[in-house]
Amino acid sequence: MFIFLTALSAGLVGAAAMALASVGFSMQFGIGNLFNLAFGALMTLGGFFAYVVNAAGLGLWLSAAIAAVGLGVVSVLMGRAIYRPFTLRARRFGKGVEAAVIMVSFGVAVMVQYSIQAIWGASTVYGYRVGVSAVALSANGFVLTWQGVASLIVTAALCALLGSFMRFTQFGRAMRATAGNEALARSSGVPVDRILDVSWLISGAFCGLAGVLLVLDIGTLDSFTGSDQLLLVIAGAIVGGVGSPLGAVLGAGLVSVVSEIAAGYISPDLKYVVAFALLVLTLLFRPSGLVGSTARAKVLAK
Amino acid sequence: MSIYLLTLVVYLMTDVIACWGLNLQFGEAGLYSFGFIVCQAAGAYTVGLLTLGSAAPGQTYFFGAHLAFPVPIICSAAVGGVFGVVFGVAALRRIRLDYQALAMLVIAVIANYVVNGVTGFLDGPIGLVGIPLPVPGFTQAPSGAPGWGYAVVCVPALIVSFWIVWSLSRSPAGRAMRTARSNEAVARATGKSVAKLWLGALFWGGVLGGLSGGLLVAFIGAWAPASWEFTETFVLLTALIVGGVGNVWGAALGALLVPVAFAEGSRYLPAIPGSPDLGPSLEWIAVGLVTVLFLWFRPAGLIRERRRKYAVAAIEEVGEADQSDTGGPPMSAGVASADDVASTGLTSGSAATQPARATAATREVTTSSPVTRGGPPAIEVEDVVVRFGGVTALDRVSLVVPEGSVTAIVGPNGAGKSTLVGVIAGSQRPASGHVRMFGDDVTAMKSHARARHGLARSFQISGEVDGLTVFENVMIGEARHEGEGMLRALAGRWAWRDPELRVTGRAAIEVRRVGLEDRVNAVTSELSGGQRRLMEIARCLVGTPRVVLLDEPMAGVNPRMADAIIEHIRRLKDRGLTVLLVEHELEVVEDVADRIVLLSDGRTVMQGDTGEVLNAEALREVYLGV
Repeated sequence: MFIFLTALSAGLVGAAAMALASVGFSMQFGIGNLFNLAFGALMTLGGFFAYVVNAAGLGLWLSAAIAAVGLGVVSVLMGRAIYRPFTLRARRFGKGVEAAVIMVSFGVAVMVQYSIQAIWGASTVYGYRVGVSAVALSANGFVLTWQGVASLIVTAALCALLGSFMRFTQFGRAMRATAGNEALARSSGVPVDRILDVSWLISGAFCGLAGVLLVLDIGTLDSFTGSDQLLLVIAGAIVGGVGSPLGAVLGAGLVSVVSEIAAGYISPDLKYVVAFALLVLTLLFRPSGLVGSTARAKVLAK
Repeated sequence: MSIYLLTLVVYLMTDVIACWGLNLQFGEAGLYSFGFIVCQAAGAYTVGLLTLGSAAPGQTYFFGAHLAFPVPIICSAAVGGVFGVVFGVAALRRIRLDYQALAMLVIAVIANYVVNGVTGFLDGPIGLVGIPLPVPGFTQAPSGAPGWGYAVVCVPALIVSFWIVWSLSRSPAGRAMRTARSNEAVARATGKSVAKLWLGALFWGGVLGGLSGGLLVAFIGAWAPASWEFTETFVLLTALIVGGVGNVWGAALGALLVPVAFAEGSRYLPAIPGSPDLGPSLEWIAVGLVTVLFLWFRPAGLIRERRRKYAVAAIEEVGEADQSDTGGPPMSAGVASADDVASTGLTSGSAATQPARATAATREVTTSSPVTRGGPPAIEVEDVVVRFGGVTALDRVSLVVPEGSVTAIVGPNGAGKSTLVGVIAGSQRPASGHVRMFGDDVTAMKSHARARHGLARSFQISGEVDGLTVFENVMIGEARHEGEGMLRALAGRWAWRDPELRVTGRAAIEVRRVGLEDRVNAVTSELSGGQRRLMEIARCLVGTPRVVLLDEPMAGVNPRMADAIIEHIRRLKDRGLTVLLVEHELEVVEDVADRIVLLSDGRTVMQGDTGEVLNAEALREVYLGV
């Protein structure tokens, strides 16, 4: 029980960062139809944005907010300048969009990753200016700091906000329409390009903030902080069910907790193997994920 | 300096072999093998285990042996092939391409973690070290470092690898692979076993991967999980994209430019004081940038996939002989085939014209007897039910297509025609009911098997295969091509030359019949909609089928072309073929069909002779609602 609770608490805080990231990834996948392999490196970039602002003297949570906005902007630019043109061209030639874009996103991932290394060094370790956080909760191995509590609250609030935005507002419905069938949405008068910009902005902001929370969870920041988590983020999004914020949260939670438990009970070396195995099995045998009923048609159409 | 140059040469050779392997899977077969590096790793570990002998104290790996060169290298190729298949099974699941890619990538990552984490298996993160050079007397320099002899050892492997990729690529098997790459449905409908082609590509690609890993590790002497992180696959993919996907020379050029030139080029960059990571980082940024730029500006790579040209002159020669023939007597003319022209560089096929080969055409004659025959119907559908979720698309549909008839399936949109086509062609499995061809129950038979059983079909939309020329698009129609196997391809041209010549000859005849003889070397995107239909009709007939299923062949075709197509359908009947025509327009049907099957709301409303059905109440009810 002790191991289980320790594993659970360790997994819980990491899960908050993962959940945010998975929601962002899932949104890009659902609406932009992009399998963004650069997502991990972009999380790192978010972490460094916050680091720069934080080092200049601003408070931690303000730095996090600025990093989120910064990444949102980067994401919009990237979507417009790179991914969108490739998507449109693939469609015009009747080629599979996903095949065209996944290689591009790899190229972008390499560029972002190594730009970070060029600026901040490959293995130099950084940290935020932040005091030691007091323990908020401790019972039988289960430990949670106030910072952890804050991370959980921020994550839950943002995911709930996004979920209700997508579900209850006119704009959110237009987003879902675009995700379902872009051509149909466009001909029904949905301003598809603006919708895409907004979804890039939101997903980018989630990505940046996730990077910051990740640094808070781990304690340090280096050029691989985000990339190391890329497959876990993807696992969260896909196991949960792509295109669904709720699914992404559930998936990320499941993946984080499962990998902590695997680390605790089996071997720390195999921490990620169980999570990755879960991802592969989902990809192969239940591509729509746990919750992804809306995304099912999209995913199954090869 | 000498050792540096040697290293460069050996790396180049192993990278070229690896790129060829990946090109077989990714370029030729269209599989997103993002986990390709596993094959290379498997080959490397194999050579390590088979040369090191049993583990010394302090080392923990399983099964060490001391085998003499070249046994470990050969084993590395075999193991690579097996891993290619085992780790590529993800490719056989029908999921989105990016899911496929990711699944394979993650499998490679898991493999790396497992090797890294499990003790007593492959010595974890330390890996195998101290792997000796093979035949040290020959490959070792006096100083003990590797000598140029090792490069010599690599040459035969390079030659064998070249033979594998080159002979697969130019053979009918290569054409079948490219068909499956661009249009799986057409590949299945023309009798290609797509799963078998993919497994073949995975295996032979894996063999090359394993071989390259084996050669590499015997040279560098050590192999650990850090040597084969999944990002290495991307370096090879970038190499393919830069050099040119789908062709042997492009892959080789890519291997020269990307892994070798990029890695080595940076050695000449001056070190930037204070930022040791800047140099290598810039190199990688350049790799990423080059990938993106190539994908945008030159997606075909520096060297484009070669388009095989066929000698039009030779085809015309056959065509003239064909003028007097309306499908009866055997053909007795040959044409220059792909490689006669492509490999000898002839611009006219006449010099390469082959002696007469009549076999293919005589097969056709056997089917051209009169319409009324006592045998079982060509196609019989009995009580077929198909459900999609809660919707019943076909509800106990039965119909009979007599041998030698032109039978039309008509019905308004949503009647279930397309689903029925799928059931007959084998791409849609019915929930219950039976489909028979000439009395044989084919219900459980897959599309490609039905094609080999004598069913040819056209497609309502997207029946063309991009990346193949018009002539090749017709040639793939032979569902029983005896020279299409991969082993035949590897055995060399003599093993598939004769069947290929027969198919070339038949394709030339059919291309001539539909009047596309001056478009043979065009790509399909240069054809009009009507011409594509004609191309498909020609494709249907290359394989001398017994039943031809035409799915709305007149849809979206201009009226003059439609008349031409109707004329072709009539000629099919004259040739004694059974034709099943799926059509929405009644006027078309009235002109050509002997029999009509009327489908509405997933049910057979009536079937009978054309006149009978066209005058029936039921038809007016279905079409006009009165």
